[in-house]
Order: sequence, then C-alpha cells, then structure tokens
Amino acid sequence: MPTLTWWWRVVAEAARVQLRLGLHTRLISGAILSPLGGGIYILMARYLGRTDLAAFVVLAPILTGLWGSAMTSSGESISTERDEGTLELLIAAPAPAALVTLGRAIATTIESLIAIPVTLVVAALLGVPLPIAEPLLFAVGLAALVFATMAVGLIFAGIFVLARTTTVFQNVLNWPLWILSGTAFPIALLPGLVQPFSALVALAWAAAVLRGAATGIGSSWWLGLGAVVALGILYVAIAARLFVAVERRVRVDGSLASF
Amino acid sequence: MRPTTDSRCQQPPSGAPRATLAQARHGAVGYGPHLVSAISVRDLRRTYRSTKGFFSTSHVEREALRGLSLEVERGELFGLLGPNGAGKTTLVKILATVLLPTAGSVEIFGSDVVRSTTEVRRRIGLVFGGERGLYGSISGRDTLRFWSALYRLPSDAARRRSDELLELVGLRDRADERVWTYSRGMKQRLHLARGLIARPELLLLDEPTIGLDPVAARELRQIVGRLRDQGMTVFLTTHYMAEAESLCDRVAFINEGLIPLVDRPRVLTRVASEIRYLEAELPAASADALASRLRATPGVREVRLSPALEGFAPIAVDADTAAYDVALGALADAGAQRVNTREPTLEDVYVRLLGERGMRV
Amino acid sequence: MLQLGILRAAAHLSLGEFFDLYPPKLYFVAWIPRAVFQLAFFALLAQFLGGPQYLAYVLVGTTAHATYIGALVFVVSSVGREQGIGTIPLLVASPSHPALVLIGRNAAQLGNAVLTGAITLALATVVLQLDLSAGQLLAALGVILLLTVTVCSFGLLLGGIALRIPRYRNTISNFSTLALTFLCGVYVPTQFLPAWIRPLSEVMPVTHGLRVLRHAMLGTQADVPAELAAEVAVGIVFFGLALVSFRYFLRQARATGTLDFH
Repeated sequence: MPTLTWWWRVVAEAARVQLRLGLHTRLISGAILSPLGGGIYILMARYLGRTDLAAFVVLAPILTGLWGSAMTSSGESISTERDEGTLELLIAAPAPAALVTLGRAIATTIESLIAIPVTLVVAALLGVPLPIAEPLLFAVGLAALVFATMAVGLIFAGIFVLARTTTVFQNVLNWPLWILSGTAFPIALLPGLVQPFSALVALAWAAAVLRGAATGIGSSWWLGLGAVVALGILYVAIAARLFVAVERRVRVDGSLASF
Repeated sequence: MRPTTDSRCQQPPSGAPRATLAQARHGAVGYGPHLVSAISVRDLRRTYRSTKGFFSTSHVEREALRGLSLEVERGELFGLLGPNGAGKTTLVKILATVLLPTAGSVEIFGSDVVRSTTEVRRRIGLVFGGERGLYGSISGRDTLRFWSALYRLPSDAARRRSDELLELVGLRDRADERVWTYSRGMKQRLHLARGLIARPELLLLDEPTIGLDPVAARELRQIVGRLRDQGMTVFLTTHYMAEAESLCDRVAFINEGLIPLVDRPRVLTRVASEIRYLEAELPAASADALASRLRATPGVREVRLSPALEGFAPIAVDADTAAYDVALGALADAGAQRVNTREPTLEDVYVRLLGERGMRV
Repeated sequence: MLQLGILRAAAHLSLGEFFDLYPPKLYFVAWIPRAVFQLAFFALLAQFLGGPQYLAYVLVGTTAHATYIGALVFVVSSVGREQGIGTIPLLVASPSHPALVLIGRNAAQLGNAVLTGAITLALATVVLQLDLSAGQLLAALGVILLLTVTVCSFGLLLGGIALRIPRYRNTISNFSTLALTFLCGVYVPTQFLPAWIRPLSEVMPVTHGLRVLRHAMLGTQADVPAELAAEVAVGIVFFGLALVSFRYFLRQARATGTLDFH
C-alpha cells in the first residue's frame, strides 16, 4: 500500500473510532453547552440594548467553541487513551501517532461545527440576530479557521501527552487566548504591549475576517484569510516536530502508562 | 525487496530446515551464523525517576533493570519468569519500543529498538492484556479494523485477517458487540487477535493468562503453542511456574532487574520436585532442641524457628525429598501441631537453582 | 471528638486529592490564572458593551462567579470519584455521620472557592479603585464565605443526583454552572429575566448573597438581613436535600445491588 494511501486510511480510521467514543457527551457539550455559554454574552448585549454589536457577541461562542473543543478533545482524548491503556499500544504501532491524533482532531472539529447553527438560533431567540452580509467570505473564513483549529489541536495533543493531568492545562490556555484573539471584543481594548501577539494566533485573524463577513464592513480580507491559512500550516509543522520530540521524551521518562 | 505480509512467518526463515528449529526447541544453541536472533539484549539498564510528596522537588530513582542480557532465537517460545516488580513488564515495554532503555542495547531481528524503531514495530505484535488497552465503546470487529489500519493492512486483507483471527480466538459470534460487554477472558482473546493482526514475526505477551479462569487460560496457551509451531517467535512473561513449564522452550528467571538464569523448563520441574516445605507449630519447651536436631539431619536445607506465641513456636523446614519422611517423623514425635506441607513457590525454586550454581541471591 | 477526627481525616483526604490534581505550584500557575483570565474576559466585555457603571456591576458579579467557577465541577466530580473508587459503601458502613464526611471531603473545594473569590475581590477593588473600609472588606469576605458554602451544598446535591447517571456527571456540573451564571444576577440583573424564570433565580445559591455583596462593595440598595437569611436558607435546604439524595441512592443501590456500579 503506498504511503499516502496508508496515511489517509489511518486518519480515516482514527476519525471513525473517535466519532464513536463518548459521542453523546461531546454532542451535548458542543451543540448545547457551547452555544449556551455564549448566550450570556448575547444576554449582556441585549440588556444594554447593544444589538448593533451582534457581530461580536454572537460570533464569540462560535469562535471559542471551535477552538475550545479542539483543545478539550485533544486533551481529553489523550488522557482517556492513557487511562484506557491504549496510548502505549498506539505508540507501539508502526503508524505515526500524529496521524491518529489528526484523525481524532478532524472528527471532533466536525462535531463542534454543529454549534454554529445552534448558536445562530439561540442568538435570534434572544433577540440579537446575526446578519451575514457576505456568506461566501464567511464560509471560506470558517473553513480556514477549521483548518487552523485542527492544527492547534495537534500541537496541544502533543503537549498534553507530557502533562500528568490535561484538564489543568487545557483550561489555562483557553481564556487568555480568547482575550488575545479579540473573540468577543476588539483587540484595541487590550494593553498596547500585548496587542502585537495576537498576530500569531490564527483565531484573531479569523475573528476579524468573520466579523467583517457578517457586518459587511471592512475590506481586503485576503490578508486575514492568508494569515489564518499560513498560521495553520505553521502550526502543522510545529506539531509534526513536536510529536517526534514528545514521543521520544515520553519513551525516555516511561510516563506513558497512567498511575 | 520487501516481503509481503502473507509470506511472513508461515515458514521458518529461508535456508533453515525444520530440523534446526526442532533442535533449537530442545536446547541446541541456535542457528547458523547467517540467521539473526529474534531478540538480542546486552547490558540493558532502565531507571525510573519520580518525585516525592506534595511540595518537594527531590527525586527518587528506581533501577528497574540493572544490566540485563538475553538472547532469544527465532522460532522459540521463550518465557520470562519472575515475581511482581522484578522488571518483566519493563523489559517487555522496552522490547515493544514503548519505553527507552537508559543504557545498553536491544535488537530485534537485528534492528535496534531505539534507532530503527519503525522497522521493529512493523515486525512485532503486542499482547499486553488485561482490562485496559481496548476501546470499550466500539465492537471487537471495529477494534481489529482500526488496528489493522495502523499496521498498514489494505482494507480487504484486513477484513479477511480479522475474520480469520476472530475465528481463531473464538470471538466470531460476539464480534459485533461492544467491547465493554466482553468478559475478562474475551477481552484477553481480543487482545491476542489484535496482537496477531499483522502476522508479526515476534509476539510479545505480558502476563497473558493473568485473571483468566483455568479453562480460558489453557485455551490461550494452546493457541500460543500452535503459533510457535507455525514458526512465530514468542516471548512471554509470567509469574506462573506451571505455565512456563508447560509452554516454553526455554525459560529465564528475572529478579530485581537481572537475569541470572536461563534454562529449559525441565530444570524447573526437577528442582521443584526435589524440595519439600514443612510448616508446623512446636511446643515451646522442645522447640530449640528439635530445631538443632533437624539442622543436623542430612538433607535438611534450612530450619527457621520463630519466637513462641501462646506456648507454641512456628517452625519452617526446607528439606530434600529424601529427608522429608525423617523430618516429618521428628516433628510428629516432638508433639508438633498444625503440620502442613506446601508446594515450592517460584521464589523457592529460584533460590534453590541459584544455590546449585553457586550464586548468591 | 470522634466526629472531629473524622472531619479532619476526610479533609486531609480531600486536600490530598486536590493537591494531586493541582499540586501547590500548579495551583497558582494554572488554576488561579485560569479563573482570573475567565473573569477578565467578562470584565473586558462589560467595558466594551456598556459604561463604567456596568463595569462595576459586572466586576462584583465576577467576584461571585469566582466562588463557583470551579466549585461545582470539583464537588460533583469528587462525589463521582468516591463512587468510582468504590468507597461509598464503605462510608455507609462506617459509624460516622455521612454529613460530616461529606463536608470534610469537600474541604479543599471550599478552600479553593474562598481563595479564588478573595483574590477576585482584591482585583475588583483595585480595578474599580474602590475605597472600602475594613468593615466593608470583611463584610465582602464574609459574603464570599457564605456563597462558597451554599454553592458547595448545591454541588453536593448535584453530585448525589449524578451518582445515578455517572456518564452525565460532567454535563450536569457544566450545565448547572451555566445556569447560575444566567439566573443569579451575576452579569445581567435578575429583573431583566423573564417573569416566569425569576422564582427559579430566587431559590438558587448566589442570587441573594450577590445582592448583599453589591451593597457592601458598591453601596447599591439591598435588604441585607432578608437577603442573608434567604441565602443561608437556600444553603441549608440544598444540604438537606443532598443528604436525602445520598440516603435514597444508597438504599436503592443496596436493593438493586448496584452499590459499586459506575
């Protein structure tokens, strides 16, 4: 079997297995909890009568939900693997472990996309509907974000293998990143020193692009889209290097098995 | 030229006649120089570090393997026998490329486990077993399907192979049910099927029959024996002496990270049959006198007398079979109570074997 | 005195478990920053959406939010862990009063909630440049303490319910955390909620205590004795319900033989 065909098969099978594991809880969290969590932002805007800021408060849960579920499932899947004892078996197989993780990331990202229509409905129900002035740009921006999100999930899956418990880390990084990326409010609100760093986060660029696509305000979104895709590719490269290093480190420490 | 998956391991390596396999099985030293050992371990060391306590940053180091060496020939069924904590699982994990050695060299079919990891992983199968290592919410068949993809089997070959293996391990009827519904024995069988999915040249089994009822355990052993007969090299760890005896071509003892003994199982049986252990309780008054008498008796290896409790002193006697009757008689005469004979344990046989070879524990 | 010993032993276990999850170095590097950043997110959003008055309103809200930001999840999961490690039957069979054991077992969670709340209180005071007297600060801390107790009682009840449906344990704790954020006037006043939902807000923990907290920190209008009494009552009722829930669960499980099942 040629190598690329094999890799594709590994990714597909990993995605297939992932879809079957803990499906019900993830569907609930992706399809219900995430949009509801965003509901509080929407409610805040409604209370203050700032429906003009819909592009911010309605997109926020979509953006954070996509990113968050990539982190949670890459983290959780690793700790579940560790607990189930399958992590060792995965490392021992000839297939690159990164491919298995990629398959997982794809599966969970697809699941988290369900949150999008749910959020839009919740927003409309709460009286803060989101207009989408340029649907094509919106769709393309979303696709680019999905790609970058999966890549980030890969990086964190690699990092989580090293942590003894992943739930600790996966939450620490989320909120600062969401602030930095201007998911619910403009980056201009942040201290001047911090703002340049948002250029490194694909989510920040994607947030701007998607908001522009929703409101129709602004132009030259190609820069933003290009940044998201370029960063995604960078993340993949980092993840690949990371996996080699992480696997080696873990085999040195002997910390694959759970205690 | 890369061998296809079908040609692997159905025949002994080309050029080696069946007779040589049989010779190896009965104790001859190995093949000719053109054939590489299945497993070659030299001076292997493995140390674990862990932190102590809540607040401390100091480390505790534990040497699990201390300079261990081992050779396993192709086509052998090799057993690693030792008590819990001796380093069996650590060794198997290193062989499986899941753990890195701290020092020393480990080669599988000539490939180094550290430098040629992918090559090694292609050729080995693992059966780590137990309740863990399986995804509960997918079916047995899907489990095999998943792992076959990871082991690079094309889809139709994978399907055929899964059916074949499910039949072999007797899971065909329950194949489409989720693994969490399987009993312990069934899970173990699925582990075995999983390990065999890519027709490995070397099968690594870590305590494969632990937690299984005797019938299930025997069935599993039979399957493993047949695999060896078909030319697969099998390396298994166990702490059951009987298992090592009945199944293995050769057996190594491991204790505290070292392998001081490698031999044929017959040796175990012989030693085990030569030892008898008597335990009894002696009236405190006559205990010391009897203990000295027993120590002086030829064929009595060791006498351990413990302090008296409520007028009776526990005594343990290790004796050769020949001296058994004499010792028993002496105990009875002295008014011993609760006399009990027990079977030698792994430790006993091991210590006895070391003693024979003039080694210390 | 036996009871005190049990309490202490349970608390020690609880701390050990918590430190397992969050060793002290990690606590201040991971948990506290995580809580602070989450609350900063809300503060920045408030500043963006409304004016300085709304920001003040929200910052006090974040102080209350800090007390339950992890508490529910931790408490519910600790009950679940009890079930997972199979100690519930042992607890039942022991001579101690289950209430004491439960309180002790959640000592770490209580401590965590208070600490997180206190840190957030400090930050809120600084950001808003509030000029609080010592008395006001103490009052605020007192309310935080009260809130952690009522929230943890609520958590215990949820934990008891989750014993029957362990697979949904996380879902339950996440949902209820969300419910508190919506219903208790944390970021949006309870008067803004639809009329049919307001009674639910009044029986939740945090709602009443938060009004007292806003009174202490911002000087907003509140019937302090009534609200405090209500908050205390809510806590007691939830704790009582939790005990009942555990006993019922145990009785049922003993009957169906699923005491260890998880």
